[in-house]
Amino acid sequence: MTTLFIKNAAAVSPLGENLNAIWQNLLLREAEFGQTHLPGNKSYFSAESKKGSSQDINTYAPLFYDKIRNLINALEITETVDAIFFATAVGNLADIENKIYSKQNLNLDEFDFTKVRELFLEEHVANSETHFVCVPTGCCAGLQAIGLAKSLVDKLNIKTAIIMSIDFGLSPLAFEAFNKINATSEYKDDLKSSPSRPFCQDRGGFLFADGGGAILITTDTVNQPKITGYGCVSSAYHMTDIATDGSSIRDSMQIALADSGLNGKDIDHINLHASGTQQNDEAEFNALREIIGEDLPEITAFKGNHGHALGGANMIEIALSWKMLKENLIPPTPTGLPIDAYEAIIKREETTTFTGKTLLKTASGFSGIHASLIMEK
Amino acid sequence: MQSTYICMLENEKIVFKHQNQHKTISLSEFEKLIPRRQRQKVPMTTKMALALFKQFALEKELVKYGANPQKTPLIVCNRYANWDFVSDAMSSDVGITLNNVNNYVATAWFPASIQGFLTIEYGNKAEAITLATTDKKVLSATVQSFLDKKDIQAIILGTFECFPKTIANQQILKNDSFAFGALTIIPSNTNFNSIQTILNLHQGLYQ
Repeated sequence: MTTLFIKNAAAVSPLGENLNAIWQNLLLREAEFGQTHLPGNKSYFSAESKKGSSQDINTYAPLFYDKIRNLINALEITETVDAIFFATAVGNLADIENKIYSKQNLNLDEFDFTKVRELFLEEHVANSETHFVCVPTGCCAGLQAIGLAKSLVDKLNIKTAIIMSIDFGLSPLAFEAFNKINATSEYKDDLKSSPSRPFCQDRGGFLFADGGGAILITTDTVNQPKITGYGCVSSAYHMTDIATDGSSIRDSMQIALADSGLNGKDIDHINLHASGTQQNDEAEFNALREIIGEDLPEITAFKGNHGHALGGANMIEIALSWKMLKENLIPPTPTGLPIDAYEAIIKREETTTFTGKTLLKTASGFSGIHASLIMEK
Repeated sequence: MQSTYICMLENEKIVFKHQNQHKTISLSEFEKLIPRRQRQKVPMTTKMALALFKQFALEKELVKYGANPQKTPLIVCNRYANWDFVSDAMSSDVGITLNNVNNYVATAWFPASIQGFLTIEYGNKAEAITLATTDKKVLSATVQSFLDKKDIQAIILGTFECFPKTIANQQILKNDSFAFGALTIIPSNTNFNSIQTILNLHQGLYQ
Protein backbone atom coordinates (compact mmCIF):
# COMPACT_ATOMS: atom_id res chain seq x y z
CA MET A 1 0.00 0.00 0.00
CA THR A 2 1.48 3.33 -1.09
CA THR A 3 0.76 6.28 1.19
CA LEU A 4 0.95 9.93 0.18
CA PHE A 5 1.45 12.35 3.07
CA ILE A 6 0.02 15.83 2.50
CA LYS A 7 2.62 18.34 3.69
CA ASN A 8 0.64 21.41 2.69
CA ALA A 9 -2.53 22.37 0.85
CA ALA A 10 -3.82 25.46 -0.93
CA ALA A 11 -7.05 26.53 -2.58
CA VAL A 12 -8.85 29.39 -4.24
CA SER A 13 -12.60 29.51 -4.68
CA PRO A 14 -15.48 32.00 -4.78
CA LEU A 15 -15.48 31.71 -0.99
CA GLY A 16 -11.95 33.05 -0.58
CA GLU A 17 -8.62 33.74 -2.24
CA ASN A 18 -6.76 31.26 -0.06
CA LEU A 19 -7.46 28.10 1.93
CA ASN A 20 -7.73 29.84 5.31
CA ALA A 21 -10.20 32.41 3.98
CA ILE A 22 -12.33 29.67 2.41
CA TRP A 23 -12.21 27.69 5.65
CA GLN A 24 -13.29 30.66 7.76
CA ASN A 25 -16.20 31.35 5.44
CA LEU A 26 -17.25 27.69 5.60
CA LEU A 27 -17.35 27.97 9.39
CA LEU A 28 -19.51 31.07 8.99
CA ARG A 29 -21.92 29.08 6.75
CA GLU A 30 -21.32 31.43 3.83
CA ALA A 31 -22.52 30.58 0.33
CA GLU A 32 -21.33 32.53 -2.69
CA PHE A 33 -23.25 32.99 -5.92
CA GLY A 34 -23.96 35.68 -8.46
CA GLN A 35 -24.65 36.03 -12.14
CA THR A 36 -22.86 36.28 -15.45
CA HIS A 37 -24.37 38.13 -18.41
CA LEU A 38 -23.67 36.97 -21.94
CA PRO A 39 -24.59 38.52 -25.30
CA GLY A 40 -28.17 37.94 -26.39
CA ASN A 41 -29.68 38.94 -23.03
CA LYS A 42 -28.52 35.68 -21.48
CA SER A 43 -27.81 35.63 -17.78
CA TYR A 44 -26.73 32.60 -15.75
CA PHE A 45 -26.05 31.84 -12.14
CA SER A 46 -22.33 31.66 -11.46
CA ALA A 47 -19.86 31.75 -8.60
CA GLU A 48 -16.67 33.65 -9.30
CA SER A 49 -13.39 33.69 -7.39
CA LYS A 50 -12.88 37.25 -8.64
CA LYS A 51 -16.21 39.04 -8.47
CA GLY A 52 -17.50 40.38 -11.77
CA SER A 53 -14.56 39.00 -13.77
CA SER A 54 -16.47 36.62 -16.03
CA GLN A 55 -18.48 39.54 -17.44
CA ASP A 56 -15.39 40.53 -19.38
CA ILE A 57 -13.46 37.71 -21.05
CA ASN A 58 -10.42 39.98 -21.40
CA THR A 59 -10.28 40.36 -17.60
CA TYR A 60 -11.14 36.74 -16.99
CA ALA A 61 -8.68 35.10 -19.42
CA PRO A 62 -5.44 35.53 -17.40
CA LEU A 63 -6.96 34.23 -14.14
CA PHE A 64 -6.22 30.59 -15.04
CA TYR A 65 -2.49 31.31 -15.17
CA ASP A 66 -2.49 33.81 -12.27
CA LYS A 67 -4.24 31.40 -9.92
CA ILE A 68 -1.94 28.50 -10.81
CA ARG A 69 0.98 30.72 -9.76
CA ASN A 70 -0.85 31.73 -6.58
CA LEU A 71 -1.50 28.10 -5.65
CA ILE A 72 2.13 27.18 -6.28
CA ASN A 73 3.31 30.00 -4.03
CA ALA A 74 0.78 29.18 -1.33
CA LEU A 75 2.28 25.68 -1.01
CA GLU A 76 5.52 27.33 0.26
CA ILE A 77 7.77 24.91 -1.60
CA THR A 78 11.44 25.21 -0.73
CA GLU A 79 12.95 22.73 -3.22
CA THR A 80 12.03 21.60 -6.71
CA VAL A 81 9.60 18.71 -6.68
CA ASP A 82 10.04 15.38 -8.43
CA ALA A 83 6.71 15.43 -10.24
CA ILE A 84 3.70 17.54 -11.07
CA PHE A 85 0.29 15.97 -11.51
CA PHE A 86 -1.92 18.66 -12.99
CA ALA A 87 -5.64 18.23 -13.61
CA THR A 88 -8.26 20.32 -15.35
CA ALA A 89 -11.47 20.11 -17.31
CA VAL A 90 -11.19 23.06 -19.68
CA GLY A 91 -7.64 24.34 -19.10
CA ASN A 92 -6.95 27.72 -20.69
CA LEU A 93 -10.22 27.75 -22.67
CA ALA A 94 -11.04 31.32 -21.56
CA ASP A 95 -7.68 32.60 -22.78
CA ILE A 96 -8.14 30.94 -26.16
CA GLU A 97 -11.68 32.27 -26.47
CA ASN A 98 -10.50 35.76 -25.55
CA LYS A 99 -7.89 35.62 -28.31
CA ILE A 100 -10.50 34.43 -30.82
CA TYR A 101 -12.99 37.15 -29.87
CA SER A 102 -10.31 39.84 -29.94
CA LYS A 103 -8.82 38.49 -33.19
CA GLN A 104 -5.39 37.86 -31.70
CA ASN A 105 -3.13 35.33 -33.39
CA LEU A 106 -3.08 31.82 -31.97
CA ASN A 107 -0.65 28.95 -32.49
CA LEU A 108 -0.92 25.23 -31.85
CA ASP A 109 1.19 25.33 -28.68
CA GLU A 110 -1.43 27.46 -26.95
CA PHE A 111 -3.92 24.59 -27.30
CA ASP A 112 -1.53 22.00 -25.83
CA PHE A 113 -2.46 20.90 -22.28
CA THR A 114 1.19 19.95 -21.61
CA LYS A 115 2.35 23.56 -21.91
CA VAL A 116 1.07 24.34 -18.40
CA ARG A 117 4.34 22.77 -17.25
CA GLU A 118 6.13 26.01 -18.16
CA LEU A 119 4.38 27.90 -15.35
CA PHE A 120 5.86 25.50 -12.81
CA LEU A 121 9.32 25.96 -14.34
CA GLU A 122 8.93 29.74 -14.20
CA GLU A 123 7.98 29.56 -10.52
CA HIS A 124 11.13 27.46 -9.86
CA VAL A 125 9.30 24.55 -8.24
CA ALA A 126 10.19 22.28 -11.17
CA ASN A 127 13.24 21.72 -13.32
CA SER A 128 14.05 19.76 -16.47
CA GLU A 129 14.08 16.50 -14.47
CA THR A 130 10.63 17.04 -12.95
CA HIS A 131 8.00 14.68 -14.34
CA PHE A 132 4.87 16.38 -15.64
CA VAL A 133 1.51 15.00 -16.60
CA CYS A 134 -1.85 16.66 -17.12
CA VAL A 135 -5.07 14.73 -16.52
CA PRO A 136 -7.76 16.50 -18.58
CA THR A 137 -10.67 14.25 -17.67
CA GLY A 138 -13.08 16.90 -16.41
CA CYS A 139 -14.83 16.90 -13.06
CA CYS A 140 -13.07 13.78 -11.80
CA ALA A 141 -9.62 14.85 -12.97
CA GLY A 142 -8.24 15.97 -9.61
CA LEU A 143 -8.94 12.69 -7.89
CA GLN A 144 -7.60 10.81 -10.90
CA ALA A 145 -4.40 12.87 -10.68
CA ILE A 146 -4.02 11.81 -7.04
CA GLY A 147 -4.70 8.20 -7.96
CA LEU A 148 -2.12 8.40 -10.73
CA ALA A 149 0.42 9.92 -8.35
CA LYS A 150 -0.25 7.16 -5.84
CA SER A 151 0.41 4.48 -8.45
CA LEU A 152 3.54 6.13 -9.91
CA VAL A 153 5.56 7.36 -6.90
CA ASP A 154 7.30 4.04 -6.34
CA LYS A 155 7.89 3.31 -10.03
CA LEU A 156 9.40 6.75 -10.70
CA ASN A 157 11.11 7.12 -7.32
CA ILE A 158 9.08 10.26 -6.58
CA LYS A 159 9.63 11.69 -3.10
CA THR A 160 7.75 14.98 -3.47
CA ALA A 161 5.10 16.13 -5.91
CA ILE A 162 2.55 18.84 -6.50
CA ILE A 163 -0.95 17.64 -7.30
CA MET A 164 -3.15 20.46 -8.55
CA SER A 165 -6.54 20.76 -10.19
CA ILE A 166 -7.92 24.07 -11.36
CA ASP A 167 -10.54 25.44 -13.70
CA PHE A 168 -11.32 29.03 -14.54
CA GLY A 169 -13.87 28.04 -17.13
CA LEU A 170 -16.61 30.64 -16.82
CA SER A 171 -16.29 31.41 -20.53
CA PRO A 172 -19.07 32.07 -23.05
CA LEU A 173 -18.51 28.76 -24.86
CA ALA A 174 -18.57 26.76 -21.63
CA PHE A 175 -21.69 28.53 -20.29
CA GLU A 176 -23.59 27.93 -23.50
CA ALA A 177 -22.41 24.32 -23.84
CA PHE A 178 -23.63 23.52 -20.32
CA ASN A 179 -26.81 25.51 -20.88
CA LYS A 180 -27.60 23.44 -23.97
CA ILE A 181 -27.70 20.28 -21.85
CA ASN A 182 -29.61 21.98 -19.01
CA ALA A 183 -26.68 21.56 -16.62
CA THR A 184 -26.73 25.18 -15.43
CA SER A 185 -29.51 27.50 -14.31
CA GLU A 186 -30.65 30.76 -15.85
CA TYR A 187 -30.42 33.63 -13.37
CA LYS A 188 -33.48 34.54 -11.27
CA ASP A 189 -33.18 37.58 -9.03
CA ASP A 190 -35.74 36.41 -6.46
CA LEU A 191 -33.69 33.45 -5.21
CA LYS A 192 -33.02 33.87 -1.46
CA SER A 193 -30.30 31.24 -1.05
CA SER A 194 -27.74 29.53 -3.24
CA PRO A 195 -28.91 27.72 -6.38
CA SER A 196 -26.32 25.07 -5.49
CA ARG A 197 -28.39 22.82 -3.23
CA PRO A 198 -26.78 19.44 -2.65
CA PHE A 199 -28.94 17.02 -0.69
CA CYS A 200 -31.93 19.36 -0.73
CA GLN A 201 -35.19 18.09 -2.17
CA ASP A 202 -35.44 21.10 -4.46
CA ARG A 203 -31.92 20.77 -5.90
CA GLY A 204 -31.93 21.57 -9.60
CA GLY A 205 -28.44 21.31 -11.06
CA PHE A 206 -25.00 22.60 -10.46
CA LEU A 207 -23.86 26.17 -9.90
CA PHE A 208 -21.11 26.84 -12.43
CA ALA A 209 -18.06 28.18 -10.55
CA ASP A 210 -14.32 28.55 -10.84
CA GLY A 211 -11.40 27.81 -8.58
CA GLY A 212 -8.84 25.19 -7.78
CA GLY A 213 -6.64 23.60 -5.21
CA ALA A 214 -3.29 21.94 -4.75
CA ILE A 215 -1.48 19.68 -2.35
CA LEU A 216 2.21 19.14 -1.77
CA ILE A 217 2.76 15.46 -1.10
CA THR A 218 5.67 13.47 0.16
CA THR A 219 6.27 9.76 0.45
CA ASP A 220 8.34 10.31 3.60
CA THR A 221 6.39 9.72 6.79
CA VAL A 222 5.37 13.04 8.34
CA ASN A 223 2.79 13.84 10.99
CA GLN A 224 0.17 15.07 8.53
CA PRO A 225 -3.07 13.69 7.04
CA LYS A 226 -2.38 11.13 4.36
CA ILE A 227 -3.96 9.50 1.34
CA THR A 228 -4.15 5.75 1.76
CA GLY A 229 -6.72 4.49 -0.72
CA TYR A 230 -7.90 5.15 -4.27
CA GLY A 231 -10.42 3.54 -6.56
CA CYS A 232 -11.71 4.47 -10.02
CA VAL A 233 -14.18 2.89 -12.43
CA SER A 234 -16.10 3.76 -15.58
CA SER A 235 -19.86 3.54 -15.47
CA ALA A 236 -20.30 2.59 -19.16
CA TYR A 237 -23.70 4.20 -18.74
CA HIS A 238 -23.97 7.70 -20.23
CA MET A 239 -21.68 10.64 -21.04
CA THR A 240 -23.50 13.00 -18.67
CA ASP A 241 -26.06 10.99 -16.70
CA ILE A 242 -25.37 8.89 -13.61
CA ALA A 243 -27.22 5.67 -12.86
CA THR A 244 -29.10 6.52 -9.66
CA ASP A 245 -28.55 3.07 -8.18
CA GLY A 246 -25.04 4.33 -7.43
CA SER A 247 -23.45 1.05 -8.43
CA SER A 248 -20.43 2.63 -10.15
CA ILE A 249 -19.78 5.01 -7.28
CA ARG A 250 -20.11 2.07 -4.92
CA ASP A 251 -17.55 0.11 -6.95
CA SER A 252 -15.05 2.98 -6.81
CA MET A 253 -15.56 3.20 -3.02
CA GLN A 254 -14.99 -0.54 -2.61
CA ILE A 255 -11.71 -0.41 -4.53
CA ALA A 256 -10.52 2.61 -2.53
CA LEU A 257 -11.40 0.94 0.77
CA ALA A 258 -9.62 -2.27 -0.23
CA ASP A 259 -6.58 -0.23 -1.24
CA SER A 260 -6.46 1.39 2.19
CA GLY A 261 -7.21 -1.83 4.09
CA LEU A 262 -10.39 -0.38 5.59
CA ASN A 263 -14.05 -1.27 5.29
CA GLY A 264 -17.13 0.94 5.07
CA LYS A 265 -17.80 0.89 8.81
CA ASP A 266 -14.33 2.34 9.44
CA ILE A 267 -15.20 5.61 7.68
CA ASP A 268 -15.67 8.54 10.09
CA HIS A 269 -16.50 11.32 7.64
CA ILE A 270 -17.56 11.63 4.02
CA ASN A 271 -16.92 14.55 1.69
CA LEU A 272 -19.06 13.97 -1.37
CA HIS A 273 -18.93 15.16 -4.97
CA ALA A 274 -22.50 16.38 -4.32
CA SER A 275 -22.93 18.41 -7.48
CA GLY A 276 -26.53 19.19 -6.55
CA THR A 277 -28.14 17.40 -9.47
CA GLN A 278 -31.01 15.07 -8.65
CA GLN A 279 -29.19 12.08 -10.14
CA ASN A 280 -25.75 12.62 -8.59
CA ASP A 281 -26.91 13.05 -5.02
CA GLU A 282 -29.28 10.10 -5.19
CA ALA A 283 -26.55 7.90 -6.69
CA GLU A 284 -24.06 8.89 -3.99
CA PHE A 285 -26.61 8.31 -1.24
CA ASN A 286 -27.45 4.84 -2.57
CA ALA A 287 -23.76 3.96 -2.88
CA LEU A 288 -23.16 5.01 0.74
CA ARG A 289 -26.09 2.91 1.92
CA GLU A 290 -24.56 -0.16 0.29
CA ILE A 291 -21.04 0.50 1.53
CA ILE A 292 -21.72 1.82 5.02
CA GLY A 293 -25.31 0.96 5.87
CA GLU A 294 -28.23 2.83 7.43
CA ASP A 295 -26.24 4.92 9.91
CA LEU A 296 -24.03 7.28 7.97
CA PRO A 297 -21.27 9.39 9.50
CA GLU A 298 -21.45 13.17 9.08
CA ILE A 299 -21.27 14.35 5.49
CA THR A 300 -19.91 17.55 3.96
CA ALA A 301 -20.79 18.83 0.49
CA PHE A 302 -18.88 22.05 -0.20
CA LYS A 303 -20.41 22.76 -3.60
CA GLY A 304 -23.33 24.08 -1.55
CA ASN A 305 -20.98 26.86 -0.41
CA HIS A 306 -19.20 27.82 -3.61
CA GLY A 307 -20.61 25.90 -6.54
CA HIS A 308 -18.89 23.51 -8.91
CA ALA A 309 -15.52 24.52 -10.33
CA LEU A 310 -15.42 21.49 -12.67
CA GLY A 311 -12.05 19.70 -12.31
CA GLY A 312 -10.91 22.44 -9.94
CA ALA A 313 -13.57 21.42 -7.43
CA ASN A 314 -11.77 18.15 -6.63
CA MET A 315 -8.68 19.72 -5.16
CA ILE A 316 -10.56 22.52 -3.40
CA GLU A 317 -12.45 19.75 -1.61
CA ILE A 318 -9.30 17.71 -0.95
CA ALA A 319 -7.61 20.80 0.53
CA LEU A 320 -10.67 21.40 2.74
CA SER A 321 -10.76 17.72 3.74
CA TRP A 322 -7.10 18.02 4.77
CA LYS A 323 -8.11 21.06 6.80
CA MET A 324 -10.93 19.15 8.52
CA LEU A 325 -8.53 16.36 9.49
CA LYS A 326 -5.96 18.84 10.81
CA GLU A 327 -8.37 21.13 12.67
CA ASN A 328 -10.60 18.30 13.98
CA LEU A 329 -13.62 20.33 12.95
CA ILE A 330 -16.54 19.76 10.60
CA PRO A 331 -18.06 22.96 9.19
CA PRO A 332 -21.81 23.53 9.44
CA THR A 333 -24.01 23.35 6.34
CA PRO A 334 -24.46 26.61 4.37
CA THR A 335 -27.08 29.09 5.50
CA GLY A 336 -30.36 28.72 3.66
CA LEU A 337 -30.05 25.09 2.60
CA PRO A 338 -32.63 22.78 4.21
CA ILE A 339 -30.65 19.52 3.58
CA ASP A 340 -33.93 17.63 3.55
CA ALA A 341 -33.52 15.06 0.78
CA TYR A 342 -32.62 12.09 3.00
CA GLU A 343 -33.21 11.50 6.69
CA ALA A 344 -29.73 10.04 7.13
CA ILE A 345 -28.03 13.19 5.84
CA ILE A 346 -28.56 15.92 8.37
CA LYS A 347 -28.24 19.68 8.46
CA ARG A 348 -25.62 21.09 10.85
CA GLU A 349 -26.35 24.49 12.35
CA GLU A 350 -23.00 24.65 14.15
CA THR A 351 -19.42 23.60 13.60
CA THR A 352 -18.91 20.18 15.17
CA THR A 353 -15.84 18.51 16.59
CA PHE A 354 -14.38 15.77 14.44
CA THR A 355 -13.17 12.94 16.63
CA GLY A 356 -12.61 10.39 13.87
CA LYS A 357 -9.55 9.46 11.86
CA THR A 358 -10.78 8.50 8.39
CA LEU A 359 -12.41 10.34 5.52
CA LEU A 360 -13.96 9.12 2.26
CA LYS A 361 -13.95 11.53 -0.70
CA THR A 362 -15.81 11.00 -3.98
CA ALA A 363 -15.88 12.62 -7.41
CA SER A 364 -17.66 11.92 -10.70
CA GLY A 365 -17.30 13.38 -14.14
CA PHE A 366 -18.66 13.53 -17.67
CA SER A 367 -17.68 10.44 -19.68
CA GLY A 368 -18.99 8.27 -16.86
CA ILE A 369 -15.95 8.26 -14.60
CA HIS A 370 -16.14 7.83 -10.83
CA ALA A 371 -13.33 7.98 -8.28
CA SER A 372 -13.09 7.59 -4.52
CA LEU A 373 -10.28 8.40 -2.15
CA ILE A 374 -9.48 7.54 1.45
CA MET A 375 -7.73 10.04 3.69
CA GLU A 376 -6.55 9.27 7.21
CA LYS A 377 -5.02 11.18 10.13
CA MET B 1 2.77 -10.30 -28.58
CA GLN B 2 1.15 -6.89 -28.67
CA SER B 3 -0.29 -5.37 -31.78
CA THR B 4 -0.94 -1.73 -32.64
CA TYR B 5 -3.80 -0.54 -34.83
CA ILE B 6 -3.50 2.88 -36.45
CA CYS B 7 -5.92 5.23 -38.16
CA MET B 8 -4.83 8.38 -40.01
CA LEU B 9 -6.36 11.16 -42.03
CA GLU B 10 -4.36 11.42 -45.26
CA ASN B 11 -5.40 13.47 -48.27
CA GLU B 12 -9.05 13.56 -47.26
CA LYS B 13 -9.11 9.79 -46.87
CA ILE B 14 -8.79 7.50 -43.90
CA VAL B 15 -5.95 5.01 -43.80
CA PHE B 16 -5.99 2.04 -41.42
CA LYS B 17 -2.67 0.40 -40.65
CA HIS B 18 -1.93 -2.82 -38.83
CA GLN B 19 1.47 -4.53 -39.17
CA ASN B 20 2.04 -4.62 -42.94
CA GLN B 21 -1.60 -4.15 -43.89
CA HIS B 22 -2.81 -0.79 -45.17
CA LYS B 23 -6.40 -0.05 -46.08
CA THR B 24 -7.63 3.28 -47.44
CA ILE B 25 -11.28 4.27 -47.36
CA SER B 26 -13.23 7.42 -48.13
CA LEU B 27 -14.52 9.68 -45.38
CA SER B 28 -18.09 8.60 -46.17
CA GLU B 29 -17.11 4.94 -45.77
CA PHE B 30 -15.37 5.88 -42.53
CA GLU B 31 -18.57 7.47 -41.22
CA LYS B 32 -20.41 4.20 -41.76
CA LEU B 33 -18.11 2.55 -39.21
CA ILE B 34 -19.49 4.89 -36.55
CA PRO B 35 -22.74 3.88 -34.85
CA ARG B 36 -25.47 5.97 -36.51
CA ARG B 37 -26.68 7.48 -33.21
CA GLN B 38 -23.18 8.79 -32.44
CA ARG B 39 -22.22 10.36 -35.77
CA GLN B 40 -23.40 13.88 -35.00
CA LYS B 41 -22.35 13.74 -31.37
CA VAL B 42 -18.68 12.89 -31.44
CA PRO B 43 -15.45 14.51 -32.63
CA MET B 44 -12.99 12.99 -35.11
CA THR B 45 -10.76 11.43 -32.44
CA THR B 46 -13.67 9.53 -30.93
CA LYS B 47 -14.80 8.44 -34.38
CA MET B 48 -11.32 7.08 -35.03
CA ALA B 49 -11.33 5.16 -31.76
CA LEU B 50 -14.75 3.67 -32.46
CA ALA B 51 -13.76 2.89 -36.07
CA LEU B 52 -10.55 1.13 -35.00
CA PHE B 53 -12.50 -1.07 -32.63
CA LYS B 54 -14.94 -2.00 -35.37
CA GLN B 55 -12.51 -2.27 -38.28
CA PHE B 56 -10.17 -4.62 -36.41
CA ALA B 57 -12.78 -6.32 -34.20
CA LEU B 58 -10.78 -5.35 -31.12
CA GLU B 59 -13.37 -6.70 -28.73
CA LYS B 60 -12.63 -10.18 -30.09
CA GLU B 61 -8.90 -9.49 -30.01
CA LEU B 62 -9.15 -8.71 -26.30
CA VAL B 63 -10.83 -12.06 -25.69
CA LYS B 64 -7.96 -13.79 -27.51
CA TYR B 65 -5.63 -12.36 -24.87
CA GLY B 66 -7.87 -13.73 -22.14
CA ALA B 67 -9.15 -10.26 -21.30
CA ASN B 68 -12.73 -9.33 -20.52
CA PRO B 69 -13.69 -6.39 -22.81
CA GLN B 70 -16.05 -5.17 -20.08
CA LYS B 71 -13.24 -5.04 -17.54
CA THR B 72 -10.23 -3.82 -19.51
CA PRO B 73 -8.52 -0.66 -18.26
CA LEU B 74 -8.01 2.12 -20.78
CA ILE B 75 -5.30 4.77 -21.04
CA VAL B 76 -5.85 7.48 -23.64
CA CYS B 77 -3.17 10.00 -24.56
CA ASN B 78 -4.58 13.30 -25.82
CA ARG B 79 -2.91 16.73 -25.64
CA TYR B 80 -5.38 18.90 -27.54
CA ALA B 81 -9.09 19.21 -26.91
CA ASN B 82 -11.42 18.35 -29.78
CA TRP B 83 -11.40 21.76 -31.44
CA ASP B 84 -12.48 20.20 -34.74
CA PHE B 85 -15.94 19.79 -33.20
CA VAL B 86 -16.34 23.56 -32.67
CA SER B 87 -14.03 25.01 -35.32
CA ASP B 88 -16.91 26.06 -37.59
CA ALA B 89 -19.12 27.14 -34.68
CA MET B 90 -16.52 29.53 -33.28
CA SER B 91 -16.60 33.12 -34.47
CA SER B 92 -14.82 36.30 -33.48
CA ASP B 93 -18.35 37.51 -32.64
CA VAL B 94 -19.28 36.04 -29.24
CA GLY B 95 -23.00 36.18 -30.00
CA ILE B 96 -22.58 34.17 -33.19
CA THR B 97 -20.47 31.60 -31.33
CA LEU B 98 -23.18 31.20 -28.68
CA ASN B 99 -25.86 30.73 -31.33
CA ASN B 100 -23.78 28.03 -33.00
CA VAL B 101 -23.13 25.92 -29.90
CA ASN B 102 -25.03 22.65 -30.16
CA ASN B 103 -26.19 20.10 -27.59
CA TYR B 104 -23.08 17.96 -27.91
CA VAL B 105 -20.27 20.48 -27.39
CA ALA B 106 -20.17 19.87 -23.61
CA THR B 107 -19.27 16.22 -24.11
CA ALA B 108 -17.49 16.31 -27.47
CA TRP B 109 -15.00 19.13 -26.92
CA PHE B 110 -13.11 17.75 -23.95
CA PRO B 111 -10.37 15.10 -24.23
CA ALA B 112 -12.20 12.50 -22.11
CA SER B 113 -14.79 12.23 -24.88
CA ILE B 114 -12.74 9.35 -26.30
CA GLN B 115 -12.62 7.26 -23.11
CA GLY B 116 -16.27 8.02 -22.39
CA PHE B 117 -17.69 6.92 -25.72
CA LEU B 118 -15.40 3.87 -25.92
CA THR B 119 -16.33 2.61 -22.46
CA ILE B 120 -20.03 3.25 -23.04
CA GLU B 121 -20.10 1.65 -26.50
CA TYR B 122 -18.42 -1.52 -25.28
CA GLY B 123 -19.86 -1.68 -21.76
CA ASN B 124 -16.39 -1.38 -20.27
CA LYS B 125 -16.56 -0.59 -16.54
CA ALA B 126 -12.84 -0.66 -15.84
CA GLU B 127 -10.74 2.33 -14.83
CA ALA B 128 -10.07 4.74 -17.68
CA ILE B 129 -7.82 7.79 -17.74
CA THR B 130 -6.83 10.42 -20.27
CA LEU B 131 -3.33 11.88 -20.10
CA ALA B 132 -1.67 14.85 -21.74
CA THR B 133 2.06 14.42 -21.42
CA THR B 134 5.26 14.20 -23.41
CA ASP B 135 7.00 12.40 -20.53
CA LYS B 136 7.66 8.85 -21.70
CA LYS B 137 8.72 7.70 -18.24
CA VAL B 138 5.34 8.78 -16.89
CA LEU B 139 3.54 6.98 -19.70
CA SER B 140 5.62 3.85 -19.24
CA ALA B 141 5.05 3.80 -15.48
CA THR B 142 1.32 4.39 -16.00
CA VAL B 143 1.09 1.44 -18.38
CA GLN B 144 3.01 -0.74 -15.95
CA SER B 145 0.88 0.35 -12.99
CA PHE B 146 -2.31 -0.50 -14.89
CA LEU B 147 -0.88 -3.90 -15.86
CA ASP B 148 -0.05 -4.51 -12.20
CA LYS B 149 -3.69 -4.17 -11.14
CA LYS B 150 -5.48 -7.22 -9.80
CA ASP B 151 -7.04 -9.68 -12.28
CA ILE B 152 -5.93 -7.75 -15.36
CA GLN B 153 -5.07 -9.78 -18.47
CA ALA B 154 -4.55 -6.82 -20.78
CA ILE B 155 -5.00 -3.06 -21.03
CA ILE B 156 -5.74 -0.78 -23.95
CA LEU B 157 -3.44 2.13 -24.75
CA GLY B 158 -4.71 4.78 -27.12
CA THR B 159 -3.28 7.95 -28.61
CA PHE B 160 -5.61 10.26 -30.48
CA GLU B 161 -5.30 13.78 -31.83
CA CYS B 162 -7.20 15.89 -34.30
CA PHE B 163 -6.70 19.57 -34.94
CA PRO B 164 -8.35 21.79 -37.55
CA LYS B 165 -6.37 24.11 -39.79
CA THR B 166 -8.64 27.02 -38.90
CA ILE B 167 -10.79 28.01 -35.92
CA ALA B 168 -13.22 30.91 -36.27
CA ASN B 169 -11.72 31.57 -39.71
CA GLN B 170 -8.30 32.10 -38.12
CA GLN B 171 -5.55 29.91 -39.52
CA ILE B 172 -3.85 28.04 -36.66
CA LEU B 173 -1.83 25.46 -38.60
CA LYS B 174 0.55 26.23 -41.45
CA ASN B 175 -0.27 22.91 -43.03
CA ASP B 176 -3.56 21.04 -43.33
CA SER B 177 -5.67 19.76 -40.46
CA PHE B 178 -4.29 16.60 -38.89
CA ALA B 179 -5.98 13.60 -37.34
CA PHE B 180 -4.49 10.35 -36.14
CA GLY B 181 -5.20 7.60 -33.70
CA ALA B 182 -3.62 4.41 -32.42
CA LEU B 183 -4.82 1.63 -30.17
CA THR B 184 -2.66 -1.12 -28.72
CA ILE B 185 -3.79 -4.08 -26.68
CA ILE B 186 -1.02 -4.65 -24.14
CA PRO B 187 -1.14 -8.08 -22.44
CA SER B 188 -0.19 -8.29 -18.77
CA ASN B 189 2.99 -10.23 -19.52
CA THR B 190 4.43 -7.54 -21.77
CA ASN B 191 8.01 -6.71 -20.82
CA PHE B 192 9.56 -3.28 -20.27
CA ASN B 193 11.30 -3.12 -23.65
CA SER B 194 8.11 -3.98 -25.52
CA ILE B 195 6.26 -1.25 -23.63
CA GLN B 196 8.92 1.24 -24.75
CA THR B 197 8.51 0.11 -28.36
CA ILE B 198 4.76 0.62 -28.13
CA LEU B 199 5.14 4.06 -26.58
CA ASN B 200 7.68 5.09 -29.22
CA LEU B 201 5.22 4.09 -31.91
CA HIS B 202 2.40 6.06 -30.29
CA GLN B 203 4.50 9.15 -29.59
CA GLY B 204 5.99 8.92 -33.07
CA LEU B 205 2.58 9.79 -34.49
CA TYR B 206 3.14 13.38 -33.36
CA GLN B 207 6.13 13.78 -35.75
